[in-house]
Amino acid sequence: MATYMMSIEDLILFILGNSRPNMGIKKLNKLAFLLEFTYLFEKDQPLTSADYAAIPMGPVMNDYKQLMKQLLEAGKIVENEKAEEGLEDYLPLVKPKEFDPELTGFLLTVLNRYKELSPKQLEDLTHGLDSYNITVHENQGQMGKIIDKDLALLDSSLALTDL
Amino acid sequence: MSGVIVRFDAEYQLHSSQVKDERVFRVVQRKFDFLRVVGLGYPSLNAKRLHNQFHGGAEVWEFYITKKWRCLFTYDQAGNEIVVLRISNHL
Repeated sequence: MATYMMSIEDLILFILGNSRPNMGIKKLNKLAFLLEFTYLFEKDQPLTSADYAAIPMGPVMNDYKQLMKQLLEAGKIVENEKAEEGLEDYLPLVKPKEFDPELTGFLLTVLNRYKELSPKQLEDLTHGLDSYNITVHENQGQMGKIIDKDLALLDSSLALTDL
Repeated sequence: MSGVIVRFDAEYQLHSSQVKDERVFRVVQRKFDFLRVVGLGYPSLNAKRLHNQFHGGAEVWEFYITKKWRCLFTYDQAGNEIVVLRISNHL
């Protein structure tokens, strides 16, 4: 049975707590995926038990709407009232958990690599990953299918050092 | 480009018999199944050409599977055939 380093809720709070305010759902989805799949590529083990689905705008946390609703109802995040109308935009209400310093260092390294990119840049980046493309290919272009975490083994462009 | 033929070199068979990690072989197969359809020109190939390495006159390329494994392959100039040469643990 697989063991996980953190829950997907903790990962979301970590991203929100270590980024600029006003994190939109598209960017949050991409950052969660990139942290998870970089961890898989580098460490060859899952970070969380979360699944990620391949949709036209790139990978997203599976059932992310339900996940964000749960976090809102639990009072762990709040929707930003200043967000543009019709856009989800989240602020954390609780501090992220403290993790092992090595894990925290790893997550910050990956987050710092991507967090200043725009949602569109992150979308373009994830559109080029083997894990995303092979999932779309294997499902004959049908969207919404879960990205097998084994495919992260091929995402060498996420490597933190030159290979 | 599509309809690329993928075949595994005899050397691949030798190395594959020495490697127990079936997961590695499954993802390699899936990558080449993907490349077989979309063609080698696809931008997500994520492979690097190995300088001064040739197989039967063709350039040798490599890509990584996590940080432990690498897959060497070659293809003809027309891009019609991929030959998987080796999958090896380089650590």
